[in-house]
Amino acid sequence: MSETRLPKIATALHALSIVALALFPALFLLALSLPALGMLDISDFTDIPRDEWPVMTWIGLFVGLIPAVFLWLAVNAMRRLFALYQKGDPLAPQAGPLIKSIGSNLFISALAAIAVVPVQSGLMSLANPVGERQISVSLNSSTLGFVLVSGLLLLIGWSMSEATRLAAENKEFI
Amino acid sequence: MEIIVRLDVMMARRKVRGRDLAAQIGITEQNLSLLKSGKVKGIRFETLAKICAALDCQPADLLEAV
Repeated sequence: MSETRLPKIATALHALSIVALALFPALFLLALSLPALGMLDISDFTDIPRDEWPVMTWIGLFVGLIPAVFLWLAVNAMRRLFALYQKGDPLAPQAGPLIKSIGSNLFISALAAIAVVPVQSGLMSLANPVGERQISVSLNSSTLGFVLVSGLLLLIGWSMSEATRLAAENKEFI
Repeated sequence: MEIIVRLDVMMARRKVRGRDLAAQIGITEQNLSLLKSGKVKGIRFETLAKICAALDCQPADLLEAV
């Protein structure tokens, strides 16, 4: 990729990341405030109408947001990285730690996405009659792929941080 | 123990200006100034050899452990 194209692509991605950052909480608030949209569909776990959800169902709903929080943090780090690339300096010292931050947040998000399913399903179906409660475990190829890619990103960020540190140290040798 | 750079002393003895020495050994005047003031983490053997050749001295004439 030529150096002139980098800032242009980074500008577009920076704008996209800002939109994504704003959309995450906006969509959640919309889903909470407008039940008619049916965005909070938990019919897989319980048939209790939303007005009668017990506290545990609400806790289950918020537990399900944990991966999204880390995803939001990753997108925020992406926004900062794209802002850095907009200046046309892909090898800036801050790039490595930012990629590492993106990788670690995505990695935690991917692991949390696997871990919260049994907890969430248990909490949400806790109000069901005995025999209708459930604990689900979900693992598919896309989740595994997400874990692998985020892990790879974490390692790349780690090695870039190390390279930046060595380059800075090397500059102090004459 | 600390290593002190005695480059300024040797340059004064040889009557060499910073600009000339920097040009001769291929580093910037700014880096030479940092080296003289000891504000660097280290010096490469290559740079040390060039300075020794330019000033006709030994590494021990430039560095001192105190």
